Amino acid sequence: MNDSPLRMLVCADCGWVQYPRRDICCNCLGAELVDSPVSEKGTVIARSELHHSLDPFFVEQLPWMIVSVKLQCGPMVIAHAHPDTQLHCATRIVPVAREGGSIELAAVPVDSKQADLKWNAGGDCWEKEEE
Amino acid sequence: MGMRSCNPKPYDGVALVVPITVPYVKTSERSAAYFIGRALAAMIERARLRKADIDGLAVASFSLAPDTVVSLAEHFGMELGYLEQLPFGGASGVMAARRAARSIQAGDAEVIACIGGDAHASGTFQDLVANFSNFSREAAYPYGAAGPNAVFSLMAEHYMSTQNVARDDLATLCVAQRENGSYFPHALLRNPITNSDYLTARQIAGPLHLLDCVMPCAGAEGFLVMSQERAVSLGLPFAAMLAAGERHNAFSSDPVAFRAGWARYAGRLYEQAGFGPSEMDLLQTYDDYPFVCLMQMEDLGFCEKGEAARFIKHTALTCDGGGLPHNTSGGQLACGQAGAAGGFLGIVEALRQVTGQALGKSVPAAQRAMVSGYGMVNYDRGVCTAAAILEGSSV
Repeated sequence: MNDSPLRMLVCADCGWVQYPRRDICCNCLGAELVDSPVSEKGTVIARSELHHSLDPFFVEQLPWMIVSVKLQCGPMVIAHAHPDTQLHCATRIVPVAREGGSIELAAVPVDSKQADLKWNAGGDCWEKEEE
Repeated sequence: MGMRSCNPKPYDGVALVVPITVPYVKTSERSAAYFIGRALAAMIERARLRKADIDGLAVASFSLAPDTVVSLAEHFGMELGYLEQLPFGGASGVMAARRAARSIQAGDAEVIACIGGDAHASGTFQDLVANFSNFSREAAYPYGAAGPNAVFSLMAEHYMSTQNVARDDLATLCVAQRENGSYFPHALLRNPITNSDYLTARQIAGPLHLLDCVMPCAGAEGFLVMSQERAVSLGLPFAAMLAAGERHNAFSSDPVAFRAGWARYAGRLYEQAGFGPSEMDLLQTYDDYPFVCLMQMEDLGFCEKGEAARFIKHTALTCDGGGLPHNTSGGQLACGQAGAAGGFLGIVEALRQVTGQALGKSVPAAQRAMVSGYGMVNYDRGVCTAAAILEGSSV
Protein backbone atom coordinates (compact mmCIF):
# COMPACT_ATOMS: atom_id res chain seq x y z
CA MET A 1 0.00 0.00 0.00
CA ASN A 2 2.93 2.31 0.67
CA ASP A 3 3.65 2.40 -3.05
CA SER A 4 0.03 3.19 -3.91
CA PRO A 5 -0.23 6.28 -6.10
CA LEU A 6 -3.47 7.20 -4.34
CA ARG A 7 -3.04 9.54 -1.39
CA MET A 8 -5.67 10.72 1.06
CA LEU A 9 -5.76 12.33 4.46
CA VAL A 10 -5.64 9.75 7.24
CA CYS A 11 -6.40 10.55 10.88
CA ALA A 12 -3.31 10.19 13.06
CA ASP A 13 -5.51 9.31 16.05
CA CYS A 14 -8.00 6.76 14.70
CA GLY A 15 -6.74 5.85 11.23
CA TRP A 16 -9.97 6.91 9.46
CA VAL A 17 -9.42 7.68 5.76
CA GLN A 18 -11.00 11.03 4.84
CA TYR A 19 -12.55 11.92 1.49
CA PRO A 20 -13.28 14.57 0.35
CA ARG A 21 -10.39 16.42 2.01
CA ARG A 22 -11.26 18.05 5.30
CA ASP A 23 -9.70 19.64 8.36
CA ILE A 24 -11.24 17.56 11.11
CA CYS A 25 -11.63 13.76 11.25
CA CYS A 26 -15.25 12.79 10.56
CA ASN A 27 -14.90 9.79 12.88
CA CYS A 28 -13.16 11.08 16.03
CA LEU A 29 -12.89 14.85 15.39
CA GLY A 30 -9.09 14.55 15.55
CA ALA A 31 -7.26 17.48 14.03
CA GLU A 32 -4.09 15.75 12.85
CA LEU A 33 -4.82 14.48 9.36
CA VAL A 34 -1.80 13.18 7.50
CA ASP A 35 -1.51 12.95 3.73
CA SER A 36 -0.73 9.23 3.24
CA PRO A 37 -0.76 6.54 0.56
CA VAL A 38 -3.96 4.46 0.76
CA SER A 39 -5.17 1.33 -1.04
CA GLU A 40 -6.46 2.14 -4.50
CA LYS A 41 -8.70 -0.95 -4.67
CA GLY A 42 -12.45 -0.58 -4.84
CA THR A 43 -15.71 -1.67 -6.42
CA VAL A 44 -17.93 0.23 -8.82
CA ILE A 45 -21.27 0.69 -7.07
CA ALA A 46 -22.94 3.14 -9.45
CA ARG A 47 -22.20 4.40 -12.94
CA SER A 48 -23.65 7.11 -15.08
CA GLU A 49 -23.08 8.24 -18.61
CA LEU A 50 -23.33 12.01 -18.77
CA HIS A 51 -24.96 13.48 -21.87
CA HIS A 52 -24.99 17.05 -20.65
CA SER A 53 -22.40 19.29 -19.07
CA LEU A 54 -21.99 22.93 -18.10
CA ASP A 55 -18.30 22.93 -19.07
CA PRO A 56 -17.25 23.33 -22.73
CA PHE A 57 -14.44 20.78 -22.29
CA PHE A 58 -16.84 18.02 -21.30
CA VAL A 59 -19.46 19.15 -23.79
CA GLU A 60 -16.98 18.29 -26.55
CA GLN A 61 -16.23 14.89 -25.01
CA LEU A 62 -19.81 13.76 -24.36
CA PRO A 63 -20.93 11.21 -23.47
CA TRP A 64 -18.67 11.11 -20.41
CA MET A 65 -18.71 8.22 -17.95
CA ILE A 66 -18.50 8.75 -14.19
CA VAL A 67 -18.73 6.14 -11.44
CA SER A 68 -19.16 5.86 -7.70
CA VAL A 69 -16.49 3.60 -6.26
CA LYS A 70 -16.46 2.22 -2.75
CA LEU A 71 -12.83 1.95 -1.74
CA GLN A 72 -11.65 -0.91 0.45
CA CYS A 73 -9.94 1.66 2.65
CA GLY A 74 -13.33 3.25 3.46
CA PRO A 75 -14.41 6.26 1.44
CA MET A 76 -16.79 6.43 -1.51
CA VAL A 77 -15.33 8.44 -4.37
CA ILE A 78 -16.80 9.80 -7.58
CA ALA A 79 -14.36 9.23 -10.44
CA HIS A 80 -13.95 9.59 -14.16
CA ALA A 81 -14.34 6.19 -15.76
CA HIS A 82 -13.68 4.42 -18.99
CA PRO A 83 -16.89 4.01 -21.05
CA ASP A 84 -16.65 0.22 -20.75
CA THR A 85 -16.56 0.25 -16.95
CA GLN A 86 -19.19 -2.14 -15.66
CA LEU A 87 -21.27 -2.00 -12.49
CA HIS A 88 -19.88 -4.11 -9.62
CA CYS A 89 -16.50 -4.52 -11.31
CA ALA A 90 -13.29 -4.40 -9.33
CA THR A 91 -11.40 -1.24 -10.03
CA ARG A 92 -8.36 0.76 -9.08
CA ILE A 93 -8.62 4.47 -8.38
CA VAL A 94 -5.70 6.42 -9.77
CA PRO A 95 -4.95 10.12 -9.53
CA VAL A 96 -4.78 11.86 -12.90
CA ALA A 97 -3.63 15.33 -13.78
CA ARG A 98 -6.09 17.57 -15.58
CA GLU A 99 -5.24 20.52 -17.72
CA GLY A 100 -4.69 23.41 -15.35
CA GLY A 101 -2.89 21.24 -12.83
CA SER A 102 -5.71 19.86 -10.74
CA ILE A 103 -5.47 16.23 -9.64
CA GLU A 104 -8.61 14.18 -10.11
CA LEU A 105 -9.51 10.54 -9.70
CA ALA A 106 -10.04 8.00 -12.46
CA ALA A 107 -11.38 4.46 -12.16
CA VAL A 108 -9.37 1.85 -14.06
CA PRO A 109 -10.98 -1.59 -14.24
CA VAL A 110 -8.80 -4.38 -12.84
CA ASP A 111 -10.19 -6.62 -15.58
CA SER A 112 -7.26 -7.73 -17.76
CA LYS A 113 -8.88 -6.76 -21.07
CA GLN A 114 -8.98 -3.16 -19.94
CA ALA A 115 -5.72 -3.04 -18.07
CA ASP A 116 -3.94 -1.48 -21.00
CA LEU A 117 -6.17 1.54 -20.95
CA LYS A 118 -4.66 4.58 -19.39
CA TRP A 119 -5.54 8.18 -18.80
CA ASN A 120 -3.83 10.47 -21.26
CA ALA A 121 -2.27 13.07 -19.02
CA GLY A 122 -1.99 15.68 -21.77
CA GLY A 123 -5.25 15.18 -23.56
CA ASP A 124 -7.68 14.62 -20.72
CA CYS A 125 -9.10 11.49 -22.26
CA TRP A 126 -8.85 7.72 -22.29
CA GLU A 127 -6.58 6.04 -24.81
CA LYS A 128 -4.94 2.69 -25.46
CA GLU A 129 -1.42 2.56 -24.12
CA GLU A 130 0.99 2.65 -27.03
CA GLU A 131 3.42 -0.20 -27.36
CA MET B 1 -23.15 7.22 13.95
CA GLY B 2 -26.87 7.30 14.79
CA MET B 3 -28.18 9.73 17.34
CA ARG B 4 -30.67 9.37 20.16
CA SER B 5 -34.17 10.07 18.97
CA CYS B 6 -36.06 12.80 20.73
CA ASN B 7 -39.70 13.40 21.37
CA PRO B 8 -40.57 17.01 20.57
CA LYS B 9 -43.52 18.63 22.30
CA PRO B 10 -46.58 19.34 20.15
CA TYR B 11 -46.93 22.58 18.22
CA ASP B 12 -50.17 23.44 19.99
CA GLY B 13 -51.67 26.84 19.35
CA VAL B 14 -49.59 27.63 16.25
CA ALA B 15 -51.16 28.61 12.93
CA LEU B 16 -49.70 28.62 9.42
CA VAL B 17 -51.54 31.15 7.26
CA VAL B 18 -51.57 33.02 3.94
CA PRO B 19 -49.78 30.71 1.50
CA ILE B 20 -48.16 32.93 -1.14
CA THR B 21 -46.50 32.20 -4.47
CA VAL B 22 -44.78 35.01 -6.35
CA PRO B 23 -45.22 33.87 -9.97
CA TYR B 24 -42.10 32.25 -11.38
CA VAL B 25 -40.20 33.58 -14.37
CA LYS B 26 -37.60 31.67 -16.41
CA THR B 27 -34.97 34.37 -16.14
CA SER B 28 -34.97 37.80 -14.60
CA GLU B 29 -32.52 40.57 -13.91
CA ARG B 30 -34.39 41.24 -10.65
CA SER B 31 -32.63 40.44 -7.36
CA ALA B 32 -33.52 37.87 -4.70
CA ALA B 33 -34.61 40.77 -2.49
CA TYR B 34 -37.19 41.69 -5.14
CA PHE B 35 -38.83 38.26 -5.16
CA ILE B 36 -38.69 37.89 -1.38
CA GLY B 37 -40.05 41.42 -0.96
CA ARG B 38 -42.94 40.69 -3.35
CA ALA B 39 -43.85 37.66 -1.24
CA LEU B 40 -43.72 39.72 1.93
CA ALA B 41 -45.92 42.47 0.50
CA ALA B 42 -48.44 39.91 -0.76
CA MET B 43 -48.74 38.16 2.60
CA ILE B 44 -49.15 41.42 4.50
CA GLU B 45 -51.91 42.46 2.13
CA ARG B 46 -53.68 39.11 2.27
CA ALA B 47 -53.53 39.00 6.07
CA ARG B 48 -54.70 42.62 6.29
CA LEU B 49 -51.73 43.44 8.50
CA ARG B 50 -49.35 46.38 8.51
CA LYS B 51 -45.66 45.90 7.82
CA ALA B 52 -44.98 46.85 11.45
CA ASP B 53 -47.07 43.87 12.62
CA ILE B 54 -44.43 41.48 11.27
CA ASP B 55 -41.79 41.03 13.95
CA GLY B 56 -39.99 37.99 12.60
CA LEU B 57 -38.41 37.15 9.25
CA ALA B 58 -37.12 33.71 8.22
CA VAL B 59 -35.57 33.48 4.78
CA ALA B 60 -34.03 30.85 2.53
CA SER B 61 -32.21 31.97 -0.61
CA PHE B 62 -29.18 30.92 -2.64
CA SER B 63 -28.77 34.23 -4.43
CA LEU B 64 -28.78 36.78 -1.60
CA ALA B 65 -25.02 36.87 -1.06
CA PRO B 66 -23.25 39.00 -0.02
CA ASP B 67 -26.49 40.07 1.66
CA THR B 68 -28.26 38.10 4.38
CA VAL B 69 -31.62 38.22 6.10
CA VAL B 70 -30.12 41.11 8.07
CA SER B 71 -29.71 43.10 4.87
CA LEU B 72 -33.33 42.33 4.04
CA ALA B 73 -34.54 43.84 7.31
CA GLU B 74 -32.89 47.10 6.33
CA HIS B 75 -33.87 46.76 2.67
CA PHE B 76 -37.54 46.35 3.61
CA GLY B 77 -37.41 48.93 6.41
CA MET B 78 -38.44 46.54 9.18
CA GLU B 79 -37.68 46.53 12.89
CA LEU B 80 -37.62 42.88 13.91
CA GLY B 81 -37.28 40.78 17.04
CA TYR B 82 -36.53 37.52 15.25
CA LEU B 83 -34.28 36.75 12.28
CA GLU B 84 -33.60 33.39 10.77
CA GLN B 85 -31.70 32.36 7.68
CA LEU B 86 -32.12 28.83 6.42
CA PRO B 87 -29.41 27.55 4.08
CA PHE B 88 -31.18 24.22 3.79
CA GLY B 89 -32.41 24.22 0.18
CA GLY B 90 -35.19 21.72 -0.34
CA ALA B 91 -35.74 21.19 3.38
CA SER B 92 -35.92 24.87 4.26
CA GLY B 93 -39.70 25.38 4.15
CA VAL B 94 -40.59 22.77 6.75
CA MET B 95 -37.56 23.74 8.80
CA ALA B 96 -38.67 27.39 8.75
CA ALA B 97 -42.13 26.35 9.93
CA ARG B 98 -40.70 24.28 12.80
CA ARG B 99 -38.46 27.07 14.03
CA ALA B 100 -41.06 29.79 13.64
CA ALA B 101 -43.68 27.67 15.43
CA ARG B 102 -41.43 27.27 18.47
CA SER B 103 -40.73 30.98 18.61
CA ILE B 104 -44.44 31.76 18.45
CA GLN B 105 -45.13 29.26 21.23
CA ALA B 106 -42.39 30.72 23.38
CA GLY B 107 -43.50 34.29 22.79
CA ASP B 108 -40.25 35.32 21.12
CA ALA B 109 -42.20 36.72 18.19
CA GLU B 110 -45.84 37.28 17.23
CA VAL B 111 -45.97 37.16 13.44
CA ILE B 112 -43.15 35.53 11.49
CA ALA B 113 -42.88 35.73 7.72
CA CYS B 114 -41.24 32.58 6.30
CA ILE B 115 -40.07 33.03 2.72
CA GLY B 116 -37.97 31.10 0.22
CA GLY B 117 -37.03 33.05 -2.86
CA ASP B 118 -34.36 33.35 -5.49
CA ALA B 119 -33.26 35.34 -8.45
CA HIS B 120 -32.24 33.68 -11.71
CA ALA B 121 -30.29 35.87 -14.08
CA SER B 122 -29.10 34.09 -17.20
CA GLY B 123 -25.73 32.38 -16.76
CA THR B 124 -25.79 32.30 -12.97
CA PHE B 125 -26.81 28.65 -12.59
CA GLN B 126 -23.32 27.35 -13.41
CA ASP B 127 -21.73 29.57 -10.75
CA LEU B 128 -24.17 28.26 -8.17
CA VAL B 129 -23.56 24.59 -8.89
CA ALA B 130 -19.80 24.90 -9.47
CA ASN B 131 -19.30 26.45 -6.03
CA PHE B 132 -22.15 24.84 -4.11
CA SER B 133 -19.92 23.53 -1.30
CA ASN B 134 -16.25 22.82 -0.65
CA PHE B 135 -16.77 19.06 -0.88
CA SER B 136 -18.71 19.36 -4.08
CA ARG B 137 -16.22 21.76 -5.64
CA GLU B 138 -13.37 19.32 -5.01
CA ALA B 139 -14.93 15.89 -5.29
CA ALA B 140 -18.14 16.04 -7.35
CA TYR B 141 -18.34 18.98 -9.76
CA PRO B 142 -15.03 18.29 -11.59
CA TYR B 143 -16.37 14.89 -12.66
CA GLY B 144 -18.21 16.03 -15.74
CA ALA B 145 -19.32 19.49 -14.55
CA ALA B 146 -22.93 18.40 -14.74
CA GLY B 147 -24.08 19.85 -11.41
CA PRO B 148 -26.82 18.05 -9.51
CA ASN B 149 -27.69 15.94 -12.56
CA ALA B 150 -24.41 14.02 -12.19
CA VAL B 151 -24.69 13.17 -8.51
CA PHE B 152 -28.40 12.40 -8.72
CA SER B 153 -27.86 10.20 -11.77
CA LEU B 154 -25.49 8.01 -9.75
CA MET B 155 -28.02 7.88 -6.91
CA ALA B 156 -30.89 7.24 -9.33
CA GLU B 157 -29.14 4.36 -11.02
CA HIS B 158 -28.35 2.73 -7.70
CA TYR B 159 -31.83 3.35 -6.30
CA MET B 160 -33.64 2.12 -9.38
CA SER B 161 -31.57 -1.05 -9.67
CA THR B 162 -31.75 -1.95 -5.98
CA GLN B 163 -35.35 -0.86 -5.22
CA ASN B 164 -37.07 -2.32 -8.29
CA VAL B 165 -37.92 0.92 -10.03
CA ALA B 166 -38.08 1.23 -13.83
CA ARG B 167 -38.39 4.38 -15.94
CA ASP B 168 -41.99 3.32 -16.65
CA ASP B 169 -42.75 3.75 -12.96
CA LEU B 170 -41.22 7.21 -12.87
CA ALA B 171 -43.25 8.04 -15.98
CA THR B 172 -46.44 7.26 -14.03
CA LEU B 173 -45.42 9.71 -11.32
CA CYS B 174 -44.33 12.46 -13.71
CA VAL B 175 -47.41 12.20 -15.93
CA ALA B 176 -49.70 12.51 -12.88
CA GLN B 177 -47.72 15.41 -11.55
CA ARG B 178 -47.72 17.31 -14.82
CA GLU B 179 -51.48 16.74 -15.01
CA ASN B 180 -51.80 18.37 -11.58
CA GLY B 181 -49.56 21.17 -12.80
CA SER B 182 -51.73 21.76 -15.85
CA TYR B 183 -54.39 23.27 -13.56
CA PHE B 184 -51.94 25.41 -11.59
CA PRO B 185 -51.80 28.99 -12.89
CA HIS B 186 -48.19 29.63 -11.83
CA ALA B 187 -46.66 26.49 -13.38
CA LEU B 188 -44.12 27.41 -16.06
CA LEU B 189 -44.68 24.03 -17.75
CA ARG B 190 -48.46 23.80 -17.90
CA ASN B 191 -48.82 21.34 -20.72
CA PRO B 192 -49.58 17.77 -19.62
CA ILE B 193 -47.22 15.04 -20.84
CA THR B 194 -47.72 11.42 -21.90
CA ASN B 195 -45.82 8.31 -20.90
CA SER B 196 -44.23 8.38 -24.30
CA ASP B 197 -43.11 12.02 -23.90
CA TYR B 198 -41.40 11.00 -20.68
CA LEU B 199 -39.80 7.84 -22.03
CA THR B 200 -38.51 9.38 -25.24
CA ALA B 201 -37.15 12.58 -23.73
CA ARG B 202 -33.49 13.35 -24.37
CA GLN B 203 -31.02 11.57 -22.06
CA ILE B 204 -29.28 13.91 -19.61
CA ALA B 205 -27.28 11.68 -17.27
CA GLY B 206 -27.55 7.94 -16.70
CA PRO B 207 -31.21 7.09 -16.10
CA LEU B 208 -32.17 10.79 -15.88
CA HIS B 209 -33.80 12.26 -18.97
CA LEU B 210 -35.07 15.75 -19.68
CA LEU B 211 -38.46 15.32 -18.00
CA ASP B 212 -36.80 14.13 -14.77
CA CYS B 213 -35.10 17.48 -14.43
CA VAL B 214 -36.54 20.68 -12.99
CA MET B 215 -36.19 23.98 -14.80
CA PRO B 216 -34.23 26.63 -12.89
CA CYS B 217 -36.16 29.89 -12.61
CA ALA B 218 -36.81 32.86 -10.31
CA GLY B 219 -39.66 33.33 -7.85
CA ALA B 220 -40.67 33.07 -4.22
CA GLU B 221 -42.97 31.14 -1.90
CA GLY B 222 -43.94 31.91 1.66
CA PHE B 223 -46.41 31.88 4.53
CA LEU B 224 -46.94 33.53 7.89
CA VAL B 225 -46.71 31.81 11.26
CA MET B 226 -48.70 33.22 14.20
CA SER B 227 -50.85 32.02 17.09
CA GLN B 228 -54.14 30.34 16.23
CA GLU B 229 -55.80 32.98 18.37
CA ARG B 230 -54.37 35.72 16.18
CA ALA B 231 -55.31 33.85 12.98
CA VAL B 232 -58.90 33.53 14.19
CA SER B 233 -59.08 37.20 15.15
CA LEU B 234 -57.82 38.14 11.68
CA GLY B 235 -60.33 35.75 10.10
CA LEU B 236 -57.58 33.81 8.33
CA PRO B 237 -58.05 30.16 7.45
CA PHE B 238 -55.11 28.32 9.01
CA ALA B 239 -53.39 24.97 9.31
CA ALA B 240 -52.08 23.51 12.51
CA MET B 241 -48.81 21.59 12.48
CA LEU B 242 -49.69 18.30 14.16
CA ALA B 243 -46.15 16.93 14.05
CA ALA B 244 -42.84 17.74 12.41
CA GLY B 245 -39.34 16.37 12.34
CA GLU B 246 -35.98 16.81 10.76
CA ARG B 247 -32.83 14.72 10.54
CA HIS B 248 -29.65 15.55 8.71
CA ASN B 249 -26.77 13.41 7.54
CA ALA B 250 -28.59 10.22 8.48
CA PHE B 251 -27.43 6.84 7.14
CA SER B 252 -24.14 8.46 6.20
CA SER B 253 -22.39 5.09 5.98
CA ASP B 254 -24.62 3.92 3.10
CA PRO B 255 -22.12 4.00 0.22
CA VAL B 256 -24.80 5.35 -2.14
CA ALA B 257 -27.92 6.89 -0.64
CA PHE B 258 -31.14 4.94 -1.18
CA ARG B 259 -32.89 6.30 1.94
CA ALA B 260 -32.62 9.41 4.07
CA GLY B 261 -33.48 10.90 7.44
CA TRP B 262 -37.31 10.69 7.15
CA ALA B 263 -37.14 7.01 8.10
CA ARG B 264 -35.79 8.07 11.50
CA TYR B 265 -38.85 10.05 12.57
CA ALA B 266 -41.80 9.11 10.33
CA GLY B 267 -43.25 6.73 12.93
CA ARG B 268 -43.06 9.37 15.61
CA LEU B 269 -44.88 11.89 13.40
CA TYR B 270 -47.85 9.55 12.93
CA GLU B 271 -47.92 8.71 16.62
CA GLN B 272 -48.00 12.38 17.48
CA ALA B 273 -50.62 13.22 14.84
CA GLY B 274 -52.82 10.36 15.97
CA PHE B 275 -53.29 8.91 12.49
CA GLY B 276 -51.20 7.14 9.91
CA PRO B 277 -50.27 7.57 6.25
CA SER B 278 -53.45 5.87 5.03
CA GLU B 279 -55.49 8.73 6.51
CA MET B 280 -53.49 11.44 4.76
CA ASP B 281 -55.48 13.41 2.19
CA LEU B 282 -52.44 14.47 0.22
CA LEU B 283 -48.68 14.26 0.09
CA GLN B 284 -46.18 16.86 -1.05
CA THR B 285 -42.69 15.49 -1.58
CA TYR B 286 -39.57 17.24 -2.76
CA ASP B 287 -39.34 16.30 -6.43
CA ASP B 288 -35.83 17.06 -7.51
CA TYR B 289 -35.72 14.29 -9.01
CA PRO B 290 -38.79 12.00 -9.33
CA PHE B 291 -37.02 8.95 -7.89
CA VAL B 292 -36.50 11.00 -4.72
CA CYS B 293 -40.31 11.22 -4.44
CA LEU B 294 -40.48 7.44 -4.34
CA MET B 295 -37.75 7.38 -1.72
CA GLN B 296 -39.83 9.76 0.41
CA MET B 297 -42.97 7.64 0.01
CA GLU B 298 -41.03 4.66 1.35
CA ASP B 299 -39.16 6.40 4.12
CA LEU B 300 -42.31 8.22 5.27
CA GLY B 301 -44.10 4.88 5.53
CA PHE B 302 -46.60 5.20 2.68
CA CYS B 303 -45.22 1.85 1.52
CA GLU B 304 -42.40 -0.52 2.42
CA LYS B 305 -38.86 0.01 1.15
CA GLY B 306 -38.59 -1.33 -2.38
CA GLU B 307 -42.38 -1.18 -2.85
CA ALA B 308 -42.78 2.38 -4.14
CA ALA B 309 -43.09 1.37 -7.79
CA ARG B 310 -45.85 -1.10 -6.96
CA PHE B 311 -47.48 1.45 -4.64
CA ILE B 312 -47.82 4.14 -7.30
CA LYS B 313 -49.04 1.58 -9.85
CA HIS B 314 -52.09 1.03 -7.65
CA THR B 315 -52.48 4.53 -6.20
CA ALA B 316 -53.64 7.46 -8.30
CA LEU B 317 -51.44 10.49 -7.68
CA THR B 318 -53.67 13.09 -9.34
CA CYS B 319 -55.73 15.61 -7.34
CA ASP B 320 -59.05 13.92 -7.98
CA GLY B 321 -58.07 10.31 -8.67
CA GLY B 322 -59.19 9.00 -5.30
CA GLY B 323 -55.73 7.70 -4.40
CA LEU B 324 -53.02 9.73 -2.76
CA PRO B 325 -52.92 13.18 -4.39
CA HIS B 326 -49.24 13.97 -4.72
CA ASN B 327 -47.53 17.28 -5.54
CA THR B 328 -50.87 18.81 -6.30
CA SER B 329 -49.55 22.02 -7.88
CA GLY B 330 -47.37 20.01 -10.23
CA GLY B 331 -44.36 20.40 -7.96
CA GLN B 332 -41.09 21.70 -9.27
CA LEU B 333 -41.32 19.39 -12.28
CA ALA B 334 -44.18 21.54 -13.59
CA CYS B 335 -43.66 24.85 -11.78
CA GLY B 336 -39.89 25.14 -12.14
CA GLN B 337 -37.25 25.36 -9.42
CA ALA B 338 -36.96 28.89 -8.11
CA GLY B 339 -33.90 28.08 -6.01
CA ALA B 340 -34.76 27.87 -2.32
CA ALA B 341 -38.42 28.58 -3.11
CA GLY B 342 -38.45 24.94 -4.21
CA GLY B 343 -38.05 24.03 -0.55
CA PHE B 344 -41.20 26.02 0.26
CA LEU B 345 -43.36 24.99 -2.69
CA GLY B 346 -44.62 21.82 -1.01
CA ILE B 347 -45.60 23.35 2.31
CA VAL B 348 -47.20 26.38 0.63
CA GLU B 349 -49.28 24.14 -1.64
CA ALA B 350 -50.23 21.86 1.27
CA LEU B 351 -51.32 24.91 3.26
CA ARG B 352 -53.49 26.05 0.33
CA GLN B 353 -55.10 22.65 -0.08
CA VAL B 354 -55.97 22.03 3.58
CA THR B 355 -57.36 25.55 3.99
CA GLY B 356 -59.54 25.44 0.87
CA GLN B 357 -57.44 27.97 -1.04
CA ALA B 358 -56.13 25.86 -3.93
CA LEU B 359 -55.15 27.89 -6.97
CA GLY B 360 -55.21 24.88 -9.26
CA LYS B 361 -57.30 21.79 -8.78
CA SER B 362 -58.59 21.20 -5.23
CA VAL B 363 -58.21 17.86 -3.55
CA PRO B 364 -61.79 17.09 -2.48
CA ALA B 365 -62.33 17.64 1.26
CA ALA B 366 -58.61 17.91 1.92
CA GLN B 367 -57.79 18.33 5.59
CA ARG B 368 -54.58 16.45 6.30
CA ALA B 369 -51.33 16.75 4.44
CA MET B 370 -47.85 15.35 4.76
CA VAL B 371 -45.12 17.61 3.44
CA SER B 372 -41.51 16.58 3.16
CA GLY B 373 -38.32 18.26 2.12
CA TYR B 374 -34.90 17.13 0.98
CA GLY B 375 -31.98 19.42 0.59
CA MET B 376 -28.38 20.28 0.07
CA VAL B 377 -26.21 17.91 -1.95
CA ASN B 378 -23.02 18.82 -0.19
CA TYR B 379 -21.10 15.96 -1.83
CA ASP B 380 -22.90 12.85 -3.05
CA ARG B 381 -26.41 13.00 -1.54
CA GLY B 382 -28.94 15.33 0.01
CA VAL B 383 -27.98 15.89 3.62
CA CYS B 384 -31.09 17.61 5.01
CA THR B 385 -34.52 16.06 5.49
CA ALA B 386 -37.60 17.48 7.14
CA ALA B 387 -41.29 16.56 7.19
CA ALA B 388 -44.47 17.90 8.75
CA ILE B 389 -48.11 16.90 9.05
CA LEU B 390 -50.52 19.80 8.57
CA GLU B 391 -54.22 19.83 9.34
CA GLY B 392 -56.58 22.53 8.13
CA SER B 393 -58.87 24.18 10.64
CA SER B 394 -62.58 24.01 10.00
CA VAL B 395 -63.37 27.71 10.21
